[in-house]
This record gives sequence, C-alpha cells and structure tokens, in this order.
Amino acid sequence: MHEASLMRNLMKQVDEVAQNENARRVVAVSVWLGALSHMTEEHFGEHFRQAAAGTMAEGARLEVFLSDDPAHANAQDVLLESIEVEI
Amino acid sequence: MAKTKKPRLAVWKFASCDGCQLSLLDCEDELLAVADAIDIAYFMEATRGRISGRYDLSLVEGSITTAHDAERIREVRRRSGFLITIGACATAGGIQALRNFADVREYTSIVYARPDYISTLATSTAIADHVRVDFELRGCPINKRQLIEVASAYLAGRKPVTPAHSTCIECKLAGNVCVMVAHGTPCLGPVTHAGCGAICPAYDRGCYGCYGPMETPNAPSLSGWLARLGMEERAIGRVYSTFNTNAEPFREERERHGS
Amino acid sequence: MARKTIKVDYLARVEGEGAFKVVIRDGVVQSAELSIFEPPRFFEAFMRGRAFSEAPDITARICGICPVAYQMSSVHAMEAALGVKVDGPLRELRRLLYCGEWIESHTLHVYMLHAPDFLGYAGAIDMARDHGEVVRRGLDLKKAGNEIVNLLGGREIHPINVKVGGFYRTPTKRELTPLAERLKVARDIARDTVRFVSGFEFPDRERDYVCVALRHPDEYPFNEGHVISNRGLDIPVADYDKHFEEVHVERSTALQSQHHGVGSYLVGPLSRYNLNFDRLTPLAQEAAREAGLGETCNNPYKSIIVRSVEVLYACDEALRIIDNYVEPDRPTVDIEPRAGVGHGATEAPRGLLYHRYRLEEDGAIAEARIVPPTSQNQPSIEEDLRTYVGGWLDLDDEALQHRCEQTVRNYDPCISCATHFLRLERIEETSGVSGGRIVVGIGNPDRGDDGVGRLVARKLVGAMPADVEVVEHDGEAASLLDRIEGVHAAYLIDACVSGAPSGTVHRIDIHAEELPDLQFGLSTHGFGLAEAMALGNALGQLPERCVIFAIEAGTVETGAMLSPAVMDAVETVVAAVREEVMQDA
Repeated sequence: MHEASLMRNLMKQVDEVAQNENARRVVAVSVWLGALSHMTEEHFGEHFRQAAAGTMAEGARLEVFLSDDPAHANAQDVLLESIEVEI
Repeated sequence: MAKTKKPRLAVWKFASCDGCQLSLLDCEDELLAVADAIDIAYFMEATRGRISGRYDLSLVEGSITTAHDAERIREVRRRSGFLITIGACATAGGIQALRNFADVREYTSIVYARPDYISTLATSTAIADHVRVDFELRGCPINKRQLIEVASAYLAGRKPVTPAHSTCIECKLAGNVCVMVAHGTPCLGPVTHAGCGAICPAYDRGCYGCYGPMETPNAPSLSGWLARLGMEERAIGRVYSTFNTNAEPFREERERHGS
Repeated sequence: MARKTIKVDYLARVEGEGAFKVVIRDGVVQSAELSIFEPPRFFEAFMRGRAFSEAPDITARICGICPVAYQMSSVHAMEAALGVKVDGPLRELRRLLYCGEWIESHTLHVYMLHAPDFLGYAGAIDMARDHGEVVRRGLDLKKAGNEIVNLLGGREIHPINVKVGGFYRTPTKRELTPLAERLKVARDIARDTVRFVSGFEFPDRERDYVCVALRHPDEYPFNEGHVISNRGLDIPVADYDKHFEEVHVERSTALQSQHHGVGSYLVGPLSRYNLNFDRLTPLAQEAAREAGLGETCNNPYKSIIVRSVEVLYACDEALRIIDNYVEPDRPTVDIEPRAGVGHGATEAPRGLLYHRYRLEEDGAIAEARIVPPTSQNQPSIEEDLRTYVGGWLDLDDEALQHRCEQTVRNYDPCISCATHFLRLERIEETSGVSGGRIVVGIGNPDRGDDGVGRLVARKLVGAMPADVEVVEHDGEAASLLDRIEGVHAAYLIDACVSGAPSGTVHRIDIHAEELPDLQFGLSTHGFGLAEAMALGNALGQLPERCVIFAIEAGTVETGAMLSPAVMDAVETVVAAVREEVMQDA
C-alpha cells in the first residue's frame, strides 16, 4: 500500500548510502519483495524507474527477488538488500 | 475435514466523517456474530492490528479529494475481490462536493491561514468515478440494517435487497401521515432513495434527502410542489444541494434553480 | 573507476499520513511532531450562504462519532445570534440527548479501543475471544446510549430531530419509561466498568495541565456555562475568541489551538473532571474514589477511568431527567431570522466544541467558525509525547511505537483511525561528532555599518572549503545559538561599537579570552552576539572552536550605506576569516 510513499522512502535510503560512499552513481539496486507485499516485479520496476529519474540511481539495474513464503516474518515488507555503486 | 476459510473483510476510509463505518460497530447485537462469520482483517476504527494482503470484501467509506487518495483507491481495488461503497461520500462525493462548484482556492483560504500548506484536489468525487465498484449502499449515514443485509447477501452469494424506490413507499409502509399533504411541510420523500425507513416524517419533519436520489426521480415536478408550498427559488436550489449534491438528478435540479 | 557493493538490509517504510516523528539527540527527546492528515472538507467555507436552520444537519456531518455535539454547539450558537433562549423541558431533553452520546461515544472508546489495548488485544473483537462476557456487556452499555439518541434524535448517527429552537417532535412520558428501565441496567454495567478499568496497569506519568472546560452553577457541564481554566480563566462563551487562537501548522491539515499567553491546554474528560468534580452525582464520585482517583487527575493514561466515571454520571443524569420529565407544550420555540453574531460552546465527549456564526438580516450564514476539541488538544498531545517518551527510549521501535499510540489514544482523538496510522519515525542524532564548520555574517543590512557582517559573509560564499557552510543571520541570540549548535567550528562576523576608530577589526577567540567590552547588536533587538556567547558559554553549548571578527561601526542610520572606513575594512576581514578557516582545516 502507498507504493509511492514506500518508493520515496527507499530512494531516500539508496541516496543516503550512495552519498556516504561518495559514489558517482548507483549501478544496481537489489530488492527483496515479501509474498504479502502485494507488489509484482513489473509494478515495482515501473515505480522504481519513475522514482530514480534525476537521482544518482537513474538507469541503475534493478534486481528483484519476489518471495513466495507468506509465513515469512517480513512477508508484508519490501527490503532494500544492497546497492552497487561506482566510486 | 477441510475447514472453509472465512472471507476476509477490510474497511477503508477516505474523506468522510466516519459515521458509516461506525454503523458497523453500532450493530451491537450482531457485531460478534458477524465477526464469527467474517474475518474482520483490517478495520482501523476497531482494531490496532494492521494486516495487509488481499481481501475478499472491502467496504469503502468516503470520497476522493486528494491525489494521494486517488492513488490509494486504485490500490484498494487491486487488493479487493468485491468492493462495496458505503454512504453518500463514497457513492456521490458527499457534502464536501460543494467544493466542485466553487473556487476551492477561495475555500482553502477561508478556512486555513496558510493555504499553501494544503494540497487538495478541486473536486470531491465518488469512488465509482475512479475504480469499478461492485455495489453501492446509499445513505448519510447508511442504515445499519442494510449493512447487515449487504454482508449477509455477500456471504450467501446473492444480490442485496436494497430497494431504489422512493421514501414515500417506506412512509406508507410505516403508516406515517404524509407531512406534505396533511401539513404543507416541504418534503423530498418523493424523489429520495429509500433505505432510512422514513424517519423524518415520523418525527413531523419533511425528508431532506440524505439518501440521495431514487431511481429515475421526477425532481422538476417536486420542485413545482415545493414552490406552491411557498418555498422561494434559492431555498429550492439548496434542498438539492446537501449530502448528495453531486448525484446527477440532484445536481441537475439544483442548477435549474440557480444553485 | 571502482565499483563497490554495500549491503543495506533496510526495511522500507510508509511515510507521512498520520506520522509521528520523534527526534532524539544524545538520548534526549528534542522534538515530537504529530501530523494527523485528514483530507480537508471545508465546512466553514461552504456553510456561507446556507440558512441558519441548516446548521445542525450540516455540522453533524463533521463527525459521525459525535454528531450530537456538533448539533448542540450549532443550535446554541444560532440561538445566541437570534436572541432566543430554550428552557424548561426542551433544555432538559437536550441534556438527555447529550447523555446518550456521552454514553455511546465513551463506551465505544473504552471497550472497542482503549481497554483492549491495555489488555494486549488488537481490538474488542479479539478481546471477545477471551473475554466474551465483558465485551458483550460493553456493547449493551453502548447500545443503551444509542437508544437514547435513537428515541430523541430519530437515529443514532446524524440525528434528524434537532433544530434551532428545540425539536421537531418531543417524546411522551410513556415513550421514555422503557428507556429508563434499560438505563438502570446500563448504570450497573457502567459502575462495573469503572471497577474493571481501574485495575489496569497505568504508566506513572503526570504533568501540570492547563485544564479548560465549561462550568455551570448547578450541573456537570454539557451545553451551558462559563469557560474556565485551572489558571484563573473565567469568561463567557462569547469571549472565547479573545482568549484562544487557531494556528495553522504546515505538517497537519488540522488547525491547532493556542491559549493566549499560556500556550497548549487540555480539554476533555480530565479537564471537566478536574474543574467540576463537585458537580458529579454521589454515585459517580464514590466510584471515582473507589477507583483510586482524587478530586483531580493529571495522569492522562488514567483518562479511561475518568471516561468511565463520566459514563456512570451520564446514566445517573439521564435517569434523573426522565424521572422529572414533563411533556412540553410545544416541541420548539419560535424563531425570527435577524442579523447577528452568536457563540456556542458545549462539552463534546472529547472536550469543548466551539461554534461561532455571523448571520445576515434574512438569517443566512455569512461566516462560520468551528473549533473542534481535537484541534485544541493537539499541542497538548505533542507535549505529552515530548515529555513522556523520554522514559521509554530503551524500548525497541515497535514497543516504543505502541507507547506513543497509547499516549495519543488517551485523547480519544476524533480521528481515532489516525492513532493506528502512527508510524514512528525515530531519528537519532548525535551532536558534535562530525559537526562541520560554519561562517555566520551577522547584522541588519538596512542600517548602515550594521550590515558589514553580512557583506563579508556574502564575499566568502564560494571561497570556502566544502565542509564550511556560509550563512547570514540577524543576530537574535537564541536562534543564533540554535544555528551554530552541533558544529565543530563557528566564525562569526558582526559590527560593534567600543570607542575604537571605525573600521578597526577585532579578533576574539571565545575559548582563549574573555569577551571584551564590545557592544554588538546595534539593532533594537536587545539580545545579540555578546548575549548569545555568554549564554552559550554558560550552557556549555558553544562549538569547540569559536572565533569572532568584530568591525567597529561608524554610522548606523537606517538606510545609510556602509561608511568608507568600514568599507575599506571589508577586504581585510574577508582575508582574515579565510586564513583562519584554512589554518583550522
């Protein structure tokens, strides 16, 4: 729910980490989607591309892993696993 | 023996007063029985639990007045098997739809000292203007008996019985004296959607149309009667301009009387 | 061009929308902000042009949980504007109607939201699984309240029978009798409820609240009385807007109310109770005492007990009214439209609800102003969060969030849903570690040489290393201290007067020497750079490195340009600051 809001939050985190590393740009972003997070990969991808435009993560490769375990503790959540930067 | 899963119910709120949601909690005698038959999975007013996922039945209260909410209702639709709108705000945009006919910037500056802090749409619109709706339950507020009827119908897999004829029929069934004929009291009953049980005439008051227009009302004819009873033009426009002001038959009639 | 992968493992969160943000620095709560977002519906605006008679029906739709309160405040305000008084049985019926709403609303809050929370359940439905009998009794109690509203008002939500002047139809004595029977049962349940909730575990938190409520010579207040406080306020309702003001805060669409000269204040059950204990019925007072309450209660977590006492009072009062009821001759008083201004304040379950209307000659509404109890309580809620949360910082996020929700729930905000939307954003900041550096040009650019500090700063922009921020400031002491808080080094440039020739430059290292007798702050503010330094020093809040460059002023006339001597000194100071900054790097 509130995909735009979640995405903003995620991008803020990506940006912060990249800044901390003094990165020039973000090459890849790796995300884990919970089974009950009601996101599909395409859906997430669309939102990500929109939110990344104009930031250091613009054009970054998006790697999404969609979990199929509804019993997982984070089944409802979206987890930013890692980012790859160019420094 | 396999256990059938209870249908999951969610109750969502948009721009509204909460009254229609409260109707569910006002079914004091039925509430626990309902909770036995349906898994009330997401109901902010009644529980602090927050569960996400898919819902078999979603009840939506409130109108769409912000870009954020326009996005949110699409998300609700995606996650809902069956979506039912409850109350005049959700079915017709509510009384806040009066903003649709005014300059919302002016409204904002009347109420808020810093209008630039407020981000809102210029209109208040019904849920059905944004997503597909499976059933609409009218009323301001809805009638809790009708809400139980809708929930029962859903569980039984049949269509809910919520007649769209005029309030006059309910009045007759209740054995009320017609306030307009007997006392010359202006009454919107002849054009108003049934559902409330004709409360106002039972209290010596004319109906003020809070259930919105019935199916194919003859508003121009009623307006003629209201004028004959001594109502002046501006007042006639106003009576159609309340909680269902944006419902088409009422909006048209309002405009005909300069409101 | 190297690449690096950083493991983040960060759980994305939904921001905004009923957000609660707590900023903690070095283990101390710096700020607590509650943003309740309710899409604005603009009632006050679209009531303009409507007939006065429409007010009770329209304003009821502001709140589905306390529509009677809106109807009562609106009719009283309209009657004040129209010069009409409603007395006798009609007045009593209005009190009876309000009893119904108090019972219904308070019981809803206690049983459906608050009690389950104390007992660790998500809501009443969950609680019913283990405590079915308790929940059922609670629902019966709520139903009794609803029955009053149903009978007197026509229906429970958005009653149809209330009008300016009275009612459309009044009940017969006979219609009230079965209601009285059910209220006697309800009263017993209410008595049990007080006992039930008094056994919960309450956080030990108290604050000296500024309590505001109505006070009446004879009764626990509903519709009539003076507005009083526990700080000596005692005013007629018509003077409300001389003492209370609404402020619009950016992060919220609700307006926040402030009490002139006092700040945040509290309305609602606790305030009513504290200011009107002596007006409760003996049974209610006894129940309160037995529950361990004194004649005043300043622990907001115990508000659930106070609400339960009020439910008990409402049952008592309803029975008294029904017992003494005499059928009125007419259901309403006659009304003649006229121009005027009217104020009304009644005690909604959540607290004081104020309405003000200005009417035209024909009775049409020219202006409307409505101040709900929740907007009056919002600053108080935030202060509670700021004050109490400090004791729970060692809890994990989820537990802390729950405590915060509890704190908000004490107020039974009229947007009850919002409490569940609370997403705790805990921001931990530590000061002084990586700090950064700052150059501050101080002064008033419109008063001749008083503008030199700012001019120097402007010339330094773009000529400083990356870690140095360059800003201009008007020199007001408190905000200046705030501005330089947390930095590692601050370089401050200002004009001064000490008797030396104009254009003379003084350099003072605050930590190495005493501040000489220089008069800074040539503006009329009073508290300038010298005071800021003294205060900062006393509080131990000055940056590790703090250097002042003070330039002797020649003229400080309004509108004057910099005097030649001071103008000449500008380049010297610019160079001096730059050297100082580079040396420290």
